[in-house]
Amino acid sequence: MRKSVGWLDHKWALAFFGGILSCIFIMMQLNNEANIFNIMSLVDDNIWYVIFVVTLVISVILFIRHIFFTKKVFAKYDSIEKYLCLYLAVIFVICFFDKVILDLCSKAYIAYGATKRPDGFIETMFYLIINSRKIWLRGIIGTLELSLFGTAFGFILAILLVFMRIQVPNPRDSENMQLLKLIGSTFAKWYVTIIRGTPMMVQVFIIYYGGFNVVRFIFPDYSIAQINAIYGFFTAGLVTVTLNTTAYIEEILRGGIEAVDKGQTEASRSLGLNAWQTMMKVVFPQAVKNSIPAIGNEFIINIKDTSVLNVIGVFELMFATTTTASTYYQYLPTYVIAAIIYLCLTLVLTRVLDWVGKKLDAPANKGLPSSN
Amino acid sequence: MEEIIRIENLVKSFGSLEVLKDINLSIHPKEVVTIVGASGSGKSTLLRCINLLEEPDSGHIYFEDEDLTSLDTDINKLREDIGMVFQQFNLFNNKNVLDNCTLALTTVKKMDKKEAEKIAIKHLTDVGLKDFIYASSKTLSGGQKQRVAIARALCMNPKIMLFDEPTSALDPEIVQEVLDVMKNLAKDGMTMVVVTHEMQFAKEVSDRVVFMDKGIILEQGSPEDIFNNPKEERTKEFLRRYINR
Repeated sequence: MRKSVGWLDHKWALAFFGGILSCIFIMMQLNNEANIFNIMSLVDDNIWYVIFVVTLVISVILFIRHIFFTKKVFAKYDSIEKYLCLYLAVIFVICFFDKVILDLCSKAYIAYGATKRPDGFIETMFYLIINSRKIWLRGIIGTLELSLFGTAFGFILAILLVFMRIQVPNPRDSENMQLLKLIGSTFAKWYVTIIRGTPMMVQVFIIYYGGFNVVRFIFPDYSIAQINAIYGFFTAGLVTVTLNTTAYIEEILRGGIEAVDKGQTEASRSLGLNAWQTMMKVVFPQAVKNSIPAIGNEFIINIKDTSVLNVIGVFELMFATTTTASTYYQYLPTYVIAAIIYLCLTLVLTRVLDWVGKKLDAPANKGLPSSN
Repeated sequence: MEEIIRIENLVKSFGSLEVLKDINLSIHPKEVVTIVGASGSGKSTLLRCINLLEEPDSGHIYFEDEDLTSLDTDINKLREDIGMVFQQFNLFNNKNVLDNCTLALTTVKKMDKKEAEKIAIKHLTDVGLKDFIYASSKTLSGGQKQRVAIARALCMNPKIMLFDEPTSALDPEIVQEVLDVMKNLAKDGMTMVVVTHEMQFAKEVSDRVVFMDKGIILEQGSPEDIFNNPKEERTKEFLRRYINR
């Protein structure tokens, strides 16, 4: 019989870790590290001493039994072991609930009622979240808007760009058509090279100040405020994300198109469809379907990459973070909060995209479609 | 017209490799021509030149007296009359069986969808796949896929059908079902050019057998001539190896 590899196949190990952690939690309780909400204090300290010893002993027994004695001789003790694991699980749940969950609740409660910044790292984090919540919320919305619309517009522009990129001048085309195709594909090539070869932070400066000068040129006597009303920080940020995403998605789509089996094109052309019809009806639908996972990934990447836009004052999550940090003179807790928010955003959106991908029946990996 | 296809002095190289060295060949209406030869002799390349999937380096190919190799020809229009069946079937992965057949009719011939479906269902029934009309191509066996491919090509009502090793990718048990469809096509008077290793089929069904070797047509003639009285040494050698299939 093969040995299995999932955690649930080694329940004793989970119980063991639970037991050890419980002992640590009990030690914390016995050291009177009390919270405002504390259920473990309902039980007298002496009883906790007893529970501590019992839990430790059981954990060690489990450990020794499984690490050193794997013979079937001990199989008759398996039902006893089930009850021991159950005991450890119960103790762990109680201690975990008290020392982690209720602890966080206590700290949040303290932070909620505080009029000035409390001591303690986690209390400070709660305090900053609660007191700066409008700023955090605006930052999150900004990040989501920039990523969502940037990726969506970028996808549309990328489709136009990839069609320019794949044009190959054909001797059967007219002279002018051949030249147009050449110009189009060369432009697309250089656009992608430049965008992918420069950092987005540099791009956003150029796009903001460049755009600013364009508006000033058209309206020479507008004040800065008036120009910003037409072309402000957020607009420049959105334009930057869009143009940036366009280049990356173009390459994704181009790869998707080239991955479609040549036989599909040959069959389509041999039926009399021209190059455009072949692309529209046969090749491109398959290319897009295969590119969906990568494009969803691009959206997730944008959630994080929009953080660089804060340097010109775009109000997204990073801007909210630096604003909060300098308002309260708290740096580490603020950036930890930002990290947690970014992580929550990317985790949730990754799950959502996986679900959407399954609904659209997109391939799970970069599988190449075969014509068989 | 005398010949439906006339190939003159066809030369094709891939890089430095000369695959076709001065090919001259004529195909007549209602004729079934089988092209045989060893791997690398240029049979598939010759076939693919006929509907210009490969561009010849020099020479001319005339389809109904129109020069395919001229830059002024509307190759898409001519391809409507030349049907092709591939070794790897090449069914459209993003469409079901019926849509595979109606795509060209609705897109190229601008036919109404209902009309196109009627034609498609007729051809699919002829090849024995009436029950699979709405099936996805992924669920079909190789033989069924190839029959769909044949029906798909026939929907465009071509004047000539090209077959590029149509049964080479099939399990031996299902080769026969595809060959039977091709036999019926020949009986109905379709002009066919078939590249194949199925010697029995070549003997039974072809009007003419063309033997190619190293980029040239070494010998051609009726099946009796080629199989029973081969003149060239290479032909005899080739047949010795394949004759038991």
